[in-house]
Order: sequence, then structure tokens, then C-alpha cells
Amino acid sequence: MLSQQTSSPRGEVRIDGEMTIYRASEVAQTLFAAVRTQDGDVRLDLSNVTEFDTAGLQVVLMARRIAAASGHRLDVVRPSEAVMDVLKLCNVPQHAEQSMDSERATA
Amino acid sequence: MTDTALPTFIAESRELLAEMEVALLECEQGNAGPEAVNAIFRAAHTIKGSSGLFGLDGIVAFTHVVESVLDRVRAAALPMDRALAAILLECRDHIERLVGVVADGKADDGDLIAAGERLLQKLNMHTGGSSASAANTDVVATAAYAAAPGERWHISVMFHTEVLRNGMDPLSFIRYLSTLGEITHLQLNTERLPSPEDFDAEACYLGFEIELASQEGRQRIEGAFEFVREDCTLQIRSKAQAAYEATAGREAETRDARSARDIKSADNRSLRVDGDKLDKLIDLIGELVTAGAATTITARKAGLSELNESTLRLARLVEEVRDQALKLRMVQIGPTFSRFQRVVRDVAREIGKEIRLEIGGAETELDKTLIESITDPLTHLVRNAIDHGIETADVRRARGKGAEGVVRLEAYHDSGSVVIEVADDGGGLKRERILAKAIERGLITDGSSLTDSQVFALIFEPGFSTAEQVTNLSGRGVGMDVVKRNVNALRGTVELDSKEGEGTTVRIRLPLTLAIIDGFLVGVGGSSFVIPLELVEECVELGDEHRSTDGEQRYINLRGAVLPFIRLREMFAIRSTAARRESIVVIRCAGQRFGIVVDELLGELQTVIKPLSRLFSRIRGIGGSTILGTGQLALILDVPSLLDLCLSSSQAPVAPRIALAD
Repeated sequence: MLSQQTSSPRGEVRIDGEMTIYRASEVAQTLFAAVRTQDGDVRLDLSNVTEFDTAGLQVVLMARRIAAASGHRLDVVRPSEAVMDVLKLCNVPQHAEQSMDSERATA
Repeated sequence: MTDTALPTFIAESRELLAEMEVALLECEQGNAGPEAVNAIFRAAHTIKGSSGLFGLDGIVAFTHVVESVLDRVRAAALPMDRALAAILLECRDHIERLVGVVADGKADDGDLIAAGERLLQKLNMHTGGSSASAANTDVVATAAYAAAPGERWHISVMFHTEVLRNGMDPLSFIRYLSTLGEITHLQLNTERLPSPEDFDAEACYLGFEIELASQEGRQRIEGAFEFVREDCTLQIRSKAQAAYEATAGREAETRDARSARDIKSADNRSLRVDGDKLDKLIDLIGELVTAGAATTITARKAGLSELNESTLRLARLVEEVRDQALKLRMVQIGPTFSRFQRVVRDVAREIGKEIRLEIGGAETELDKTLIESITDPLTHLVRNAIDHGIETADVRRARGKGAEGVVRLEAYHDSGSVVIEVADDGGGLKRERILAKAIERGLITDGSSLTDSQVFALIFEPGFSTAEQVTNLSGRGVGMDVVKRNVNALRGTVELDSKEGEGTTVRIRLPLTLAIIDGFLVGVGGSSFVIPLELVEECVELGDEHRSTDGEQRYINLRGAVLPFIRLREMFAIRSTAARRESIVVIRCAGQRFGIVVDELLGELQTVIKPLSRLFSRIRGIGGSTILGTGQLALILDVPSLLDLCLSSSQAPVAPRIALAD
């Protein structure tokens, strides 16, 4: 199941469990809210994500954009195997490239 | 929609499960290509998706696990071996049971759920639990293709918004693609990602620009997206062409779109129609034929040549319409044959023989009702062949045959009828043993004068079985006679060829359709009856010496042989005095001859059978009705049941039948 928390290390958000279409709306809402409350760069801890599909990937990309909109970066830290697999397959960098996202943010 | 669509879901699921079974059996035998795995995946995927629509969570949950395993097989992360195919077969059976529960409208059953969990555990143990190994996929696939990069393709795919909600994960298609070659470059297309406010987490906004080095052709690559063809915009270009197509790109795009449409329309060319509607149509056409015939007669009487001409043209058209309508009911026998792969596998395993099923003439078409009714007799014959026909591997080796026995199912058309053969290369029938048994059972008194085929025909007698040991499957002495009765009820015949030591072939001959009959019209009093023409052997006049003996004598001497007979007048209590000249129609049915006494012989006719209403279903001796061109009703005789009546009422002893054989 899912549990996410903004844990003590500043700027760190963790999502546990499944990040798939079945939970996407719920995860998106919570994650976006968490990202919006951050006043600096965000480190997204995905070490306990068991399943990760296209919906999960979109949520991460979207969260990265939201962070970028307020001039911050969103990096994925400690991706689980399931997450790493998708990021590699889709050529999505673990660390947000400032240039790319700031460009998008202005769009 | 749920209530009305549910039967369609069940019917479709069963079809898909049947396809899945065939493909799994292919996999188990180790001669399956990627199409088989795709077919299995497609079946599981579609069933899961549709069950989701109906809120059948039990099926969704179970099938989801199966589908995930299949997805890994498709991505080459897991080999499809015998063991996996066997487990998946069990899973398939379980899905079938789950669908069955839905079909019966029952609530979920605890035992079934527990059984499902045990199966999933088994599946998990075999496949190594989680999907961890999926990560290695790319490495393996890349290594395999690195040596021979082949052609370079540029694939541009944009997934439609609904694809995720339709239960597809675009990533699985990309993963599958990576098994077809090496993905040299991949760029995620995020152009369609909306602003955060408009973001719908369940919608898909992603596209992929992929460069693939692969030896596969365009079709295989396109095939990777088969399941999402309608949920994505796909462009595949060969790199070599890319430069050229950069200018002619638009044209290529429309061409691709057109080819995609072509494929789709081919899929939609067949249509599912309720069988009852079809029956109703054929029934109406039958009436049309009748009304047409009446009109023709009236027109002829009126003597107007123009009217005559147009009614003839009409009659021809009506006949064509009838033939076309009857063709609608024709279906291929292939799927029915394929179902026996499973029967053969299971039974052979149970009794420890190695047996292969061969299928021939799968495209032969016959009436759907016939196919449904022939399945049981076929099952019996196939089981018989496996159980009694094929020897054990040791015996086969000793006889110089291959250890693996072969059962062959074959269908073909032969002069207006369909022949279905069940053949085995087993031990064949032993003439002496059949004779001994027949004498012991009192079926015959002495077999020395019988030909081989007459001897073999004895095994179709009720209560006959030569099996030395009674197994779980057959050999209980009920069987061949039931097969024969079922086939006869379909107006078909059974015959048997056998060579000791070489094998046995059972040949079932069936009419092409049950809806039309070539009949012989006879009259008794004011009533008309139709006898199936293929059963009529000859017609003879009933001599005066037999006419006075109503109710007493029940057989005549026909050229030295005893011919039992029945009188339709007595049988149906027709209140009229016998005509001056009566005739006997000699019928050969199920290897026996008997006569039917009638007043008038009215000739041949082809007619559409109308089933009797339920009210009359218990009447013996009548199989249906038809309306003659004159508007008069004629009853179609059910000859096998008349034969039973004839033999039991006349108390014909067994001896006459032997006399007939001479």
C-alpha cells in the first residue's frame, strides 16, 4: 500500500508502495501538495516503491515541473529497482537538469 | 449495460479461453512461436479488461497476476517452457471456472478463491516471485542483437489519453520492442503534459521517439503495438527511407494510417449474431419457400404466362436466399477439433501413454447445431482411441512402432455430406474377440459368415465392450452404441475400418445441415409423411397375402430375407380404410432393414424442416414437420425411433438380423 511522508530531512519527500495507475490520482495529489510546500529543492525518495508504471512516471515528471515552476529542482534519490528500470528505459535523468526544466517552466 | 452485455462477455471470454488453451498446448509441446505467446497474452489481457468493466474483481485480480507473468514472457524475461505452460494451463482452467461462476450467477465460492491462491503461489514459485528479473531484460536482448544490428528504424509513437484507463501500460510495449532489437536511442515526448491544474493522473500524455536497430521487418515491429493499435498514433520509418520520407513524410503518414485502418476493418468483418435470430430467419425463409411454391402453382393454374415467368424468377431468387441463409449457420470445425488437444493431453497423461493429436481439414464447414451435437460422440471416440486403441509405449516398441501414438481427427466434404474421421495407429480391433463377445452376449449365434465390417459393426450394439480392463475412462460397455445413436439422431451414419495391429478409423458421415432434408413423400389416408431419402432403399408393393393380416403378421419375405415392417396407419391411428394397393418403403437404417407400409408413393422433394413445438416433443416416430407447396402439412418421420418401435413391437427375435446379413 501507499504511504508518503515529508520526513525530517529538509526537502525530502518519500513515497512508498505502488506508483501505478491504480494509485496515481491519490499519489499525485499528495505529492504535488508536498512539493508545493517545499521552499527549496526537493529530493524525492523512491527507495520503497514496489511498482512503477507510465502513470507513476508522469506523476514524477509533473512534480518536477511544479518544482521547476517555483525555480527549484526535483531529484529522484535512491530509486528502487522498479523505478530505476523505468527511468533507464525512458532516458529520464534521475537529477533534474536545471536548464531543461526552467525552459519548460516558462512555457 | 451490465446485465445485457454480460452474456457477451461470457461468450467472448470462453472463446478467448479456448484460443488460450490451444496456444498454451502449442507452447507445452515446444513448437510455439511468439504468436502463441501473444495470443495467450491477448486472451488474458482482454478478459482482465472486460471483467474490470463488469466489476468482477475476483477475475481481475487473478488474471492480473497471470497477465504480468505473460508480459514478462513476451519481454523475453522469462522462458516459456513446458512447466510454465502446464501451470498456465491450470491458471486458464481456473479463469474458466471463475467465468463459469459468473455465468451461473453464483456468488464467489471460498474453495475457488483458495484454489486460485494456491495456483498463484505455484505460479510465483515457478517464475521467481517478483518482477525483479525484468531489469535484466534489456541486457540480454541487447546482447543477443548486438552482433547483428540489422536495419535501423525510427519509431514515433504517441499514446492516446485513454490508454492507461484501458488497462495498458505503454512501457510494456517499449520493453517488448527492446526484445526485437536494440533500442539505440529513446526520447520521451512530454509535449502534451498539461499544466498542473489540468493534470489528470490517470490520463496518458506521453509519447516516445525511438530508434531501433533490428533485423525484424516492419510487420513484426508494428506487431509490438498490436494491442494498442487503437490507442496510439504510430509511425514506423526505416532509417534508409527516412531521408526521402522527410520530404514525403505526410504521404507516408497517411499511408500508415490507411494500412492501420485496413487491418482494423479486417478485424471487424465478422459479426456476432444471436443464434436465435438466425434460426428465426431460416424459419421465415422456409415459409417463404413454401409460399413461393404455392404461388407458382396458383400462377400456373391461372395460365398467365407473364405471371408464370415472374413467379419462376422469384422462386429461383428465394432458393438462392435460402442457400445463403443456410450458409450463415456454417462454421469451421477447426476450433472444435482444437479442443481435443486438451482432452488428448489430459487423458494420455492420466493413463501414462505418449499420444499426439493430428488435425486435418480444420477449415471444413458444417452446421453449427451439428458441431455442437457432434462434440460428445467425438469426445467418446477420441477417448476410446486413446484408451483402447493406442497401445502402451512398451507394446508399441515391441511391435516396431514409434513410442508416440497418433490420434488423427480429420474432416472433409464428400458428395453432399460431411465426413469426420477419428483414426488411431493403435492395435486395431480383434475380429475373434469381438465375435466371441458377441456370441457370449447373445447378439449373434455364429459369426463365420460375417464380413469384417459386419463384425466391426457389432461393437456399436448396446452393451458391447471388449475392453479387458475397465479403466476410469471408457470400457464400461456404454459408449459406441451411444455414439451411434447420437449420430443417427443427426441423420448421420457411423462406420468403422480396422486392421489388426495397424489401427482403427471411425468414420462419421453427417448431412451438411439439419435444416434441409431430401425427402421421400408418402401418403396414408389424407395425411402426408416425409421419409429421409438417403434411408430409402427400395419400394415394393405389399402383396395381397399380407393385406388381410393387419395386426398379426409383422414381417414379409423379401427375396428370401425377413423384412419386419410397421404400418403408419396403425402407428398414428389414421382413421381411413387402407387403399387398394399398399406399398412398402424399404428402409435401411443403422445396418438394419425394415419396411414402412403406406398407401401412396408421392415422390422426392427437398424441404425445409420445421422443428416441432415443445408440445409434441415427446411423440415418438416424428422428427419434425414441413409445409408442402400446396399449403398442406407433412410430418417428417424419425426413422431411428420408428425402427426401435418396429423391433420392439414386433418382438422380432435376434435371429432375423443375422439372416439379413447373408
